[in-house]
Amino acid sequence: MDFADIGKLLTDGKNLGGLSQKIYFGLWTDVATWPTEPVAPVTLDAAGTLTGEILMKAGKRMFELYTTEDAAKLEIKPIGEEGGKGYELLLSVFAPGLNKKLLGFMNATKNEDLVLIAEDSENQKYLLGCEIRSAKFSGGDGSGTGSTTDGRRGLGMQFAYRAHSLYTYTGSVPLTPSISA
Amino acid sequence: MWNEYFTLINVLPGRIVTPRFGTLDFSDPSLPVEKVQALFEDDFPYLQITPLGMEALYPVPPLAKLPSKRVETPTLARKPVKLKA
Repeated sequence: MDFADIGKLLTDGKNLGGLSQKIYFGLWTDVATWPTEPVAPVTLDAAGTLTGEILMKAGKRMFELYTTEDAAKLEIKPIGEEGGKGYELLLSVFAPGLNKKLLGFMNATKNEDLVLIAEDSENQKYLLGCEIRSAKFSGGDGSGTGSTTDGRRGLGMQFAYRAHSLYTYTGSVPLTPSISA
Repeated sequence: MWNEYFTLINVLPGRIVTPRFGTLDFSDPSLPVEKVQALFEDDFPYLQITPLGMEALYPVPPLAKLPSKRVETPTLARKPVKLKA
């Protein structure tokens, strides 16, 4: 790969932080086809982009999870020893309310293998999960009723995914069931 | 209607978050054809074009009219051959 100069890479000066208020999730075992990692990329752009789409098995789909504005974030943490560096992606969300459905979601996902997609404020998507490794519920912050009336009820959840490299996902998210693959 | 020109494939009609236009509901027949066509041209994996769509959106230009008259190619005049006596 050829290195290149890296300038101020802001399109029209846009660089709003935070995530979209919709997070997409599904079961890792329901994925039929994964996007592929770059093979011998010739540019830096190509080295940071997945190719292709996430396609689900027949009858399966991805789902949407609402999160409170400015309460979700994606952290990228370098991990590993010298010679074995990688990354951990930590996705934190806060779903307001203590609805039965939300409690059920937490119960159903706490020990499950998951795939998640988060979109930032500049419409760039990040995929947590790949063919060999899933995203997992890793904890949470702020879950409960809150202690005062000016607090808030809800569930704070964090999901973690470990990967050797960082990529953006440029494909689509099927929220309707697949009928093939 | 877009679904006269394109068919949704591999998924049931419903919502898909598209890279270019965000969430679109493909059970809605009033989606703008231009949007669906743009996705199709981006290799969106859930669309297939119909023969009607092919004809309406990607018409094949008529073949150039062939000349009706046969074109004569000039032939070189042959020199008269002198016979030896």
